[in-house]
This record gives sequence, C-alpha cells and structure tokens, in this order.
Amino acid sequence: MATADATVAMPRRPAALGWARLPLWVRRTILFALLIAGWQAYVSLAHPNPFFFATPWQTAKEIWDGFAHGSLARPTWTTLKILLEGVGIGILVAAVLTAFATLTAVGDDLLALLTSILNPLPGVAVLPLAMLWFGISTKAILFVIANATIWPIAIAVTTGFKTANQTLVSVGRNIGLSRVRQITDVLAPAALPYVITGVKTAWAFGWRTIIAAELVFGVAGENGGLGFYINNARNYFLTSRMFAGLVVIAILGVVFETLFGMLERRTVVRWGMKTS
Amino acid sequence: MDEGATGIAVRAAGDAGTAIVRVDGVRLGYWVDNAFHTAVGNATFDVRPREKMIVIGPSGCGKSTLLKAIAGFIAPVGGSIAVAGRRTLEPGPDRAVVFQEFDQLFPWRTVLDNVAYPLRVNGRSRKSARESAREFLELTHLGPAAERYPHQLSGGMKQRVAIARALALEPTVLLMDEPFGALDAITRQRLQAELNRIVDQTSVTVMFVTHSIEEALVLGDRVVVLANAPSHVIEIVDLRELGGPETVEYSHMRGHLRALLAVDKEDALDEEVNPDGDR
Repeated sequence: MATADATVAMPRRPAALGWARLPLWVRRTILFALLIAGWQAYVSLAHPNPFFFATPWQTAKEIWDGFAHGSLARPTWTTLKILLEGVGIGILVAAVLTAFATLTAVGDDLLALLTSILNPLPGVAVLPLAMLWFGISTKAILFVIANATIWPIAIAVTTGFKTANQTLVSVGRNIGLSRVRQITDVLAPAALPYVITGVKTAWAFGWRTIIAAELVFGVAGENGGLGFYINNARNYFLTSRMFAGLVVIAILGVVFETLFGMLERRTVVRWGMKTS
Repeated sequence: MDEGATGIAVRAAGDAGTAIVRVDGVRLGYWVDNAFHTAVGNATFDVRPREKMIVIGPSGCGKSTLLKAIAGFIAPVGGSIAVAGRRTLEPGPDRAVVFQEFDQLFPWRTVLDNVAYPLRVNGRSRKSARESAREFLELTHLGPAAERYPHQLSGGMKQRVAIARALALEPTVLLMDEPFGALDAITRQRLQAELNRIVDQTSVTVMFVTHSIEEALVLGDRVVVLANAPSHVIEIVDLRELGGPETVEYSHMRGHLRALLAVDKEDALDEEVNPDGDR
C-alpha cells in the first residue's frame, strides 16, 4: 500500500470562505442582532405611534420584569405545561393507534380513514365542541391539543413503519423476535427519523392551537396562559406586553427547535440515518 | 480433520440419514398479479454436518428463494424441508442468515451491539452476550471496530459483522445468500478466503448461494447445480478432493460447471475477476 504512508501528514480540510467559515451560533447571533437592529431602526426612523408599537428595549424590559415578578413567567409555564401534557397524550394515543394499525389489517384501514378525516381539520375548529363537552377547563384545551397532535404523528409513524428497511425486518424475524419486539426494537428505531419529524410538526400544531384556544378561552382555572396574557394586554392597551408575549413564544420556538436538533444529532444523525 | 474419525464427519461422509438440512422434492415460487410463477420445480438434496454446500444456478432459478424457504421466510408449495430432523416453518436463529444487502445491520446499534443483541433476544445475559460478541468479532478481525456504528464501515466490513452476528448465534446451519455479491472483486476474494478460515475454525455447517462459479470453487465442499426456472437439481458436484487453482482438475471442474450452467464465456468474464488470469 504505497499511498498509506504513515509519515504523510493528515490532509487539511479546505478552509471555508467568509460567512460559512463562522460557527453556526455566531452566524445565528449576528443575524438575530441584525433583525433587532432593523426593528429599532424602524422605530427610530419611522416613529410609529407608541400606543401601537413597542421598541425592542421596551419589549426586553417587559419580558425581564414579567419574569422577575412572575406576571409573564406564570402564563408561560401554564401554557408550556398544558402543551407538554397535550402533546404527551397525543404521542401516546398515536403510538397505540399505529401499533394497532401495524398488528391488524382492520386497524390499518381504520387509522388511514381517521387520519384522512381528522388531519385536515384545524385544531381550534373542535374547540367549541370541546367547550361544550368539557366546559371551560384545561380538559377542553388538552382535548383540542391532543386532537391536533395525534394525526400528524400517526401519519409520520405509519410512513416510517411502512418504509422501514425490509432486510432489517427479515433479520428481526431470523433472530427470533416476537411481533411486539419487532415493533419496539426494529420498526420503531427504523422509523425514528419520521417520528422526530412527526413530533416536530405536532409540536408546532400544538403551539398554534393552544395560543388560539387561549385567546378564545381566557382563563382556565385560576391561571391564564400566554394567549390569555396577550389578549389581556390588548384589553388594557399594554402594547409592549403584547410584544413581550409574542417574543416569548418565538424564543420558546427557537429553544424547542434547538432541542429537537440536539435529539437528532444524538440519534438519527449519529447513526447515519439522516444527514445533519 | 483428525476428530473426523470419532464423530460427525464420519456420518457426514456416510449415509444421508444424518443430513443437517434435507430438501426433499421441494417446489417453490411466488405470486405475480394472481399468477403463480414456479421458480424451483423439484429440488432434492442434503446438506451434511460441517460441510460447505454451495447452491449455484443461473439468475432467476430460485436459488435465493430456496435459501429463504430453508430460513422459514417462504413456505414450499410442494415437498418438504427438514433441518436437524425438524420440519421448519418459522424463521429462527438456528438457521441464521447472512443477506446480500449491506444494510442488514441495525444502524442504531454499534458493531458490538449488533452481534450481542440477537444473543440477548435469545436469552443470554448481557455479560455473556457481550463476551461472545467480542469473541466472534475477534474471529472476524473486527475487534477494533467494535464501538463503531455500521454507517462508518465499508461494505466488506459490514458483511463481516453480519457473518460474526450469524455465527455468534451458533446456528445449526449458516445460510448465506450471495453475501459477497455486492462487493468489489478484491474485497470479495479476501472475504472468501476469510470465510474459509472462519468456517474451518468454527466447524459450522454452511449453505451458500451464489451465481459465481469461481466462488463455488473457492468455497465449496459440494455444489448443488440448479437448472433454469422452473429448476431442478442437475448435478451435485463433489469438490472435496479438488486441488488448488493451479491444478488441471480445477480447470476441468470449472469447465464442467460452466458447461452445466451453459454460461457463455463473455457472461462469465463479466462476473468473475478474470478467472483465467489468476495464475
């Protein structure tokens, strides 16, 4: 092997040029700063009516105060808690449905029918009915979120199962896996790239649904969520509060996107099932 | 083989009653648009303990289908298959399969776990499964790659992991479905030599499907030659007394197999690494 000379230095990775050379977080930070600067520039140059438009500084201060005193922290926590519960229920139900659909032909047809009927339905559309059934309570919101998350996840998991590598399924049978283990140990990990995508979609659907529900709903129990917080701020004409609520939602979106990214890097990217 | 005088090898050489795999009048096929296509018309042969039995035949003759039937993935429509005296219907680890596809390893498990996991499934403790896995990885010279994930391996390494995984299950018969078919010529020759060494060390019984005459000659103790579909066994060729590639008998045997398979020269050159050039 003439080419495998140990004394030859490792080749250098060609240096990327300019922008692409910077680490991701630096690029993100710069772009974020530019966005804030654009916002500030609009306020400074166009002088929008301060009753209708908040500056970045006012918004930041509102968020700071809101978290220091709890007036924003509480609704954020309320919303997140209900959202986590709702998506959790959605994931569980979707898992049961897809397992049933994988094990029986009837279940397969039933799931296909249910997803085609219920997936196109916007989550909030069932809110009036949920209010009728469950009253103005957290249960109603949970019901609506679960309904909004079950179907995208069910679709993703079914697609993942159906496109699972048949050689691996054969290997599973060959080494003597039971049908249940075939699902948990072969199909589920094989479908993981789809599952993660499905949960991401469900999470986004859930966010939209819960904020919309809270706007309609107002207070569930003693605590209102972020949607209530924003709507309440409008009632009192507290524009910077409305901005603060929106920015918190956006920040949480970025946080969860990052968490999902980390999950993917530790699993499907690490296993070569998805390129980063 | 010295111990042959005392045990299995004697019976292997002797009567067919001790066959590990008995394929008896098997008819096999598959459904395409409500029409049944017969791949194997009537196949009868035995695989004896500790031998490397090659099944060879032209494309579409059903040799892979036959292997899948022995593995339990497909039920024969006629005749019977018995493994170690048992009529087998369900797939099981006593007939571990090495497939042709490189993606037969679980991508989410390390090389070590890919080998250890089937042992865990079959009731071994975590510790003992890992110990066996390490042992078989050493046997296939994969020790240093134990902690890697399959996507970080070359095609040849992946196939070696699959072989280690199948061997670790200590199967009654190791079923190999053109495991080197998708490899480049050089890697294939290397793995053929390695397989010979491993089989000698473990005394496992092997049934190996290939369409390559050269591979059959390098690996086989005996060769079952199948005809075109719907196929039957044309001849069972014994290679145990055959000399090395430099001998005249070897060339004759190659010519004989080629004639049986009615492969014309150009086809043969396509699939082999210049078979006449290696000495």
